[in-house]
Amino acid sequence: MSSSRSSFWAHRISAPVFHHISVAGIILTLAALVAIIVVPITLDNAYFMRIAQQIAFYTIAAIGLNILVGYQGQVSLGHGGLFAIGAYTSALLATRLGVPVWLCLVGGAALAGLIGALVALPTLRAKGPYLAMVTIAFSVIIYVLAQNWTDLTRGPEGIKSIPGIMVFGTEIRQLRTYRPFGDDGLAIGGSVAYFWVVAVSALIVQVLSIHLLSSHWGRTINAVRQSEIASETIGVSVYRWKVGAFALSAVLAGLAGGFFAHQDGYIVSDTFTFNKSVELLVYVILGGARSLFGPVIGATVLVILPEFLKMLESFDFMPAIVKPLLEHYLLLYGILLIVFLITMPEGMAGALKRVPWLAHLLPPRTAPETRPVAGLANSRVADGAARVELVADDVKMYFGGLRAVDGVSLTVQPGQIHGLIGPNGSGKSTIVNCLTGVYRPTGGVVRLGSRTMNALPPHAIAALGVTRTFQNIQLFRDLSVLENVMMGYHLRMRYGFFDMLLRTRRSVEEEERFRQAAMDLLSFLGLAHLAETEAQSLPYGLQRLVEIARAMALDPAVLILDEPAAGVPAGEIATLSDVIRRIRDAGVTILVIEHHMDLVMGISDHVAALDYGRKIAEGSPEEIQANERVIAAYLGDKDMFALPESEPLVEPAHTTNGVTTR
Amino acid sequence: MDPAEIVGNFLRILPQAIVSGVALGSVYALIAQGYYVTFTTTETVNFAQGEFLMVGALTSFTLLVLNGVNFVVALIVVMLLMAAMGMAVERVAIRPLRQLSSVGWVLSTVGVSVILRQFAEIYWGREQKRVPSIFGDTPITLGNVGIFPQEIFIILASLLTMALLLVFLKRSTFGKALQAVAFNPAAAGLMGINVRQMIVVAYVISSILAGIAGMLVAPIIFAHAEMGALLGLKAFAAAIIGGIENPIGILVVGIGLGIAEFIAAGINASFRDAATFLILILLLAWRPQGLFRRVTAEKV
Repeated sequence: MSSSRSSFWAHRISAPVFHHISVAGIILTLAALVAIIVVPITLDNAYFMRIAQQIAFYTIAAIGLNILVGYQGQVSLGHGGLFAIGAYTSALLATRLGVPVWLCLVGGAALAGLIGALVALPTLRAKGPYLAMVTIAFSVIIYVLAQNWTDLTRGPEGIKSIPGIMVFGTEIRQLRTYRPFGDDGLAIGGSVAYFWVVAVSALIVQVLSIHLLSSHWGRTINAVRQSEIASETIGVSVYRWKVGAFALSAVLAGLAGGFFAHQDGYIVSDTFTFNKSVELLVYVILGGARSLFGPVIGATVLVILPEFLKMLESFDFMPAIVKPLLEHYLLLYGILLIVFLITMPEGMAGALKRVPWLAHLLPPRTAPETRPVAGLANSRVADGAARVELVADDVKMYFGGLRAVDGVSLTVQPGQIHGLIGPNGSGKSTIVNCLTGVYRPTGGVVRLGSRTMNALPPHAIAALGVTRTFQNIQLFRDLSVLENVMMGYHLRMRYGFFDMLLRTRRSVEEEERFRQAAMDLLSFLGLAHLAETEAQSLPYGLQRLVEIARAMALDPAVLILDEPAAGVPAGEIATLSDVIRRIRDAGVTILVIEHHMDLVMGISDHVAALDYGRKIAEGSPEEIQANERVIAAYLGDKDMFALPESEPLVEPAHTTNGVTTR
Repeated sequence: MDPAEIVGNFLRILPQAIVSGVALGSVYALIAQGYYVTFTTTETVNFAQGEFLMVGALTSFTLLVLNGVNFVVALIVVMLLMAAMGMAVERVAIRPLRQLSSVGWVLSTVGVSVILRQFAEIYWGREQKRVPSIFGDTPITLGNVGIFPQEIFIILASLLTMALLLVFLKRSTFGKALQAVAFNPAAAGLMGINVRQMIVVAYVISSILAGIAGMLVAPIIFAHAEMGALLGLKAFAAAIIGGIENPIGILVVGIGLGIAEFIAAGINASFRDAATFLILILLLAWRPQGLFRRVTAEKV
């Protein structure tokens, strides 16, 4: 599959940090560094240098915004405000308190991150377009403050004489132009030096963001974007991750703002209108959201575009109608934004990805070797933690006047397969949602052994070893099968944020270990050949199995399967039954909610039946099959059929509310 | 400042704040009903709603002031223009992006708002335009409270428009079809309702409401390219806090927000907008579902 050339590019180098960097990565980074050093010296033009500096700090902000908008899937129109906070904080620390500029930049970034988290905390709990709207409001608040809190910001008059960065004891703008190759040769002045500082910072941010986004951190925010509920049930605290992603992107916006403040040493409130937020967003979308190099491409093209238009202004051949566009380049941004969203949602980077020889440079993704797997090694089973019962004691769940579950008690014995049946609307899924923390029960107790779980969120219940699959499959659609299963190891991954940021040896090795473990799990379930397939492209039945594999990666004590046979072709039911039995044999307790009677009755050790939110029967599969209340619940009471030979039934489930009124 | 002085100050500004606040707040409510109509049918809103209002206001300036057109004729022209813009925004910014990803339509309608603002700056210029009220500019004073005839007109016209809207939505077959689409688009489609057409209608209604609001509010706040952004945003705040699927809640909160804003303005005029949005963020933190919206369980 790979030629010798591509394997050279993909060759990886061992080091304690920046571990396993491919040759292609190193060469690309060095090339960028050389370009950053050489290009400005050859240009020697203050105007071009300013543009280049802008590209560099807007790239930093755009990388941050892409993490949020592209990968995590939240829209922020408040990053202009965070950019302003970074700029003002850094400027004020330097002018009022005389703090060294390097520290001012850090302070601005930190405060932006803190305020970003404060904005995100209350609003991320709300769904839909609210966050977008609140962030717009945030932008407006910041602009109003910048404009009117003149004691602090000096408003439209502006803060002047903001010190620049000190280099070797000299303020950067005071640097004398140095011409190493004679009077007509290359020139290095203050603006070139400042470009180096900002551009190298941008390069560092770019490299670290690639590390982060291609690690478990990136995988997790991708997963949260695609299914919050599934992320929760494998132990991801969705809320914490969303706030974290917002804060990180805010830090980068603040850092960019700091670089902006120290560029000219002069900032005015008029810069920080809502339009700044729109511009940042346009950089990301046009450059390519959810793409590693989209932000730098977007920032480069779109910072140059208005300058290019201004340059055209001097030509006579421009028709008069184009003139207003030059001043109102945002009009062009708006049009480009809509055109890109509709025709090229992957942005310019997405278009580049389709260029064949560029795609060839990317290291190919390979799944780990498959190896024969005898059985499942489950740590919770091994240390006996799985030997506890899952109990619902008189659980009630009311929605307004609707009593979806009205006092149901269930005990799922460890190591058994417990079936739960009942007609549509009988409360089965509601029970599952109560057991897994998706709903907080109105009354009653849900516990695992002696541990009460009523008030716990799903991710905490997952941490206790109770996880589930979903009736309407909740896979992370864009991730590969292998990555989906790797998400299941979330709670067991020990390496932290900085390990991933610096790509320490530890993080790479642990990541490899979990890749192999995920592969083993897929082999156990007979899915190894699908490891690199995108989850959403699989047929329904296989998607169900992948969901089970992901849940198994948690080493659960209890696995709850919510209608695992729904939509699975009849021919594959046997495979499914076999998989469920094998999981039980590995020591995992299973609660299976199902309509498919052949499946439930075939595999269950014990079955309970619900109707209208109450338990109507419980016992062995044979007892349930013969139970008249169960039959009545599924088929209606005797009057509907009035079979002459039938015995009178004992107490039909619903004397007045038969099937006909459902 | 001692507490007595603060309370005294507050009581002094309160009556005027209520009068002016109800007028401005009913405009917020009117704009916000537009968010309600599109959100219930499509779970999307037009983030350029404020800019639609601005275009309505500036168009009324062109018609009324520059061309001396009759008010009723101007109203009809603005409503037709808004209907056309509503159709266009649905076709261009909503329909292609509704399914693609959850954020596409937010970005595209923000794009529309940017385009309209820039267009207005080019076409109408940056300066503020005065649109005289057809009822004159002499305030009616009662004690130390003053109210402009235009403000009375705003209150009456907004309430009438909202009443008509609600009657239309609840009583007419058309309105019921719209509600059916809101409740379950797939089932509505199977019942023979043209779902796509209903979505277009929702956007047309929403845009017309913005246009009417623009014509009403122009005489009291000046018309200019930037006027819509804040009005649209505050109206959205009213829609969220009132519960975006609850038209009565929206009305109550819209008016409440108007009053709160004038109280804030009475205390410190330059932080009026910041205060309004701070209230929004705090209320959202307290009740993410809005004040009157029942918490509903998400089906998984």
